[in-house]
Amino acid sequence: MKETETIGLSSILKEKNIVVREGFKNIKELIDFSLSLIYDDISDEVIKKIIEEKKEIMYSSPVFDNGLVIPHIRIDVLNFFSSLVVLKNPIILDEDKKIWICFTLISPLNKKFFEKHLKILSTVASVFKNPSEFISLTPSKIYSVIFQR
Amino acid sequence: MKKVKRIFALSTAVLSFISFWRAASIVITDFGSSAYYAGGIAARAYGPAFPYFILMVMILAGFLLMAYIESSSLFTRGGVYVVVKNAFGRTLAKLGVSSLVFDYLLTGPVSAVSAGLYIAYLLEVILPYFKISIELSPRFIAVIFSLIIIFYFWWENIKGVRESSSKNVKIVVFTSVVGFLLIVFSLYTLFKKGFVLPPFQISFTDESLGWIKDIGVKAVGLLGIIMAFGQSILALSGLETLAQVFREIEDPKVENLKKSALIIFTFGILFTGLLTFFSAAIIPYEKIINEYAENLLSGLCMELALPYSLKIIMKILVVISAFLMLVGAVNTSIVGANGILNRVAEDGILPDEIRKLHPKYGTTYIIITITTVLQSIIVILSGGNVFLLGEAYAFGVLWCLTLDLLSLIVLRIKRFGEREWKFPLNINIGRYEIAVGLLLLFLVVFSLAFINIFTKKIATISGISFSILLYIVFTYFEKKQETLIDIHNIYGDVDEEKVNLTVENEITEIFKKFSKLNKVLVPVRNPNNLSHLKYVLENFNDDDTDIVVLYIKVEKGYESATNYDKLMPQEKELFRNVILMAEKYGKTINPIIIFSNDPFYVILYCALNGGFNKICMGVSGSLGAEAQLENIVVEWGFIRPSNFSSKIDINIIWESRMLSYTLT
Repeated sequence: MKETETIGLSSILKEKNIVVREGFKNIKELIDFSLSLIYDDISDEVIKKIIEEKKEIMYSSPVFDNGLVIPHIRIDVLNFFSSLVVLKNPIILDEDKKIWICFTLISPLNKKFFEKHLKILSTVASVFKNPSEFISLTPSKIYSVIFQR
Repeated sequence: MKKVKRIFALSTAVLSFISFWRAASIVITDFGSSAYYAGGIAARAYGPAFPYFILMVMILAGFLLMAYIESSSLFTRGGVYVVVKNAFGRTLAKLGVSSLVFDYLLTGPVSAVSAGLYIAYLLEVILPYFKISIELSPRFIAVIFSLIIIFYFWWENIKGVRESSSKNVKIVVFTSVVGFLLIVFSLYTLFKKGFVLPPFQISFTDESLGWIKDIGVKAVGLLGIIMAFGQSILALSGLETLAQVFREIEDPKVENLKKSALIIFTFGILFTGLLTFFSAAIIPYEKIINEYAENLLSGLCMELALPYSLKIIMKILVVISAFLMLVGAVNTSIVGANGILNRVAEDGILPDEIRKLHPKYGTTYIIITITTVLQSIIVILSGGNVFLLGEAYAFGVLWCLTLDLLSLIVLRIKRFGEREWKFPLNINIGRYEIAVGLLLLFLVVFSLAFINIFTKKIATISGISFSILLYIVFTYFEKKQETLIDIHNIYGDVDEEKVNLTVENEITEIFKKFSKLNKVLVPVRNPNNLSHLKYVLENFNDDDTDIVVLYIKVEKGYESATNYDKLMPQEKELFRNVILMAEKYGKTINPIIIFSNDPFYVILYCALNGGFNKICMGVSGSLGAEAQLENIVVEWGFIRPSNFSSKIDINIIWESRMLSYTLT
């Protein structure tokens, strides 16, 4: 498997799926909200049901030191679905761990998409290396920043 | 914040490997050195037929080298102890190794004293020209010289085998040139004087008949031949060293071992066999006995059909080569004793403390010191009498070879292990394989060992006494070790590799020494999951690739290991398995330990800062390969510098599968 191209997040993330808000009590609530954004793009109820069944995996996603969490699953679909939630006030997990940004990703299970899946994860980590850059931005501004990168 | 907290580099002499030529030179300096004294001692023992028997011993050595190739291909860390233990168990193995250690202890003194005698006799010829007279006897000079040489090589071995083996190569090259000149001048002399075969006449002295004369058996016919053959076995010293250095031979190990064996055999035939034969053909027998028995090849020089000045020059060259070879044999005997005592200490039949490493050089300095102290005592007790030392020698080498060959035969019948090479002449009967070739070789060696019990009184008495004493020591410590294991150590069955740790403050410092074209980073964690390291050792050439084995110790709180002894048993087992695997493939690896709270971060940090172009990992049992790769690429997204223009290949390897990705 070779990484041959760079992936722009704008190719998989719609502007309408970018939300800046506050008031999440915990990671479950945050992920449920981010998935609700994605569900608007999915017409097939079966797929939604599969995602719901696998949601538990996303709840245990690692939270990185910089406050980024990337809940992701791979299921039997043909497209990538994603949403971005930027928190004005972080979810405080413990003294050191806070969640500032949640990028949720649904990827195709098919092996031929795995390389792209990895590239997206790497790009998400790279783009949101410093969450503080995004906290004060509007969704459209965030989208344009992502688009530029 | 993520942090690389502490960096340790592991060092041990076994992690770098030597060429077949260097391995051969280590063995030759012991095995080939007998050319300087074996002929003279044999001539005194049983008469003019000695060159035939010395030549026969060299041919026998060729077959024994073949047996060593088979045993080494079976056990990377082989030698008599391991082979016999696997065939017959520990009791016989301990006896075998006890007798072998006895011979190693004798090889050093017999070589050092012989070298001293060559020098002393040269001084007797040269010093009168400078109007200097020395009142000291050659044997006294030999004793003083021997003690100096043993002390010198004690220090060389404390510093490490690699430094010593490079000297061996130079010694063997120089000696080969001198040997070549001697062969050419001997052929010229025989052409001028006429060639007459030395008489095949055996006449034993009372001393060399030993207890045979008391039994009343006549030493004639086949018995006489076997007795003379047995008296010549001292020309066979040093072969076991081949098994000891096998672990240090570079990849491809068995092929390189075959090349080493061929070099050793050729050297033995031409240097020891042929030159002894020429000596017997050129020097009158009476002169050998009365003048040259202690310095046969010097005698050969003085009897060549050359102008006197050229004879003296050749004699000086021979003495220099004798000095170099024989003192090299002292070194080899120390290396050999160190190697074999390390093997038995690993197995818990010597206290583990004696394998403690020298803090600076990483060598097992206690074993080296014990060996050299015992050799010095033997030199002093011998009073510089090389015949006395020769009389004591050969007990161990023969019984050790007897046990070794018998064990190889038994291991064939048991169908034990995989062999890359087998001693020829084998017959399959049903599901059993009968090693006819090995059986014949065993019968020859056993008959020599058996006869020598009766003919070599000093060897029998001293050999049996020392072997029993050492056997008791081994057994005592084995019992003691078993008790300790039972009470304190639940990991008692895990043999422990002794390695040193050096501390580096900056990670970039540790990577500065890796300058090869390719760099492969191999993170390890589970001692039973090293298939990715195996893949790297099988597929990468360490000539152009730095293989860095990285263990990340996840530090919790204030827990910190400041030396190797404080690592957990499972971590020690991990490094033992890593080192054994590197030895098996004969490829150089560079193990490092890094303390951190984030393994994926450290792996990528090392790859980035060390300029690695490949990372080969095992699969994580808790994550699985795909999730593992996801974690790595996320971490890569965090730490990838914006100006990074290279690429790093990642391979996650498990069983026979591989998941690959390229970080750019």
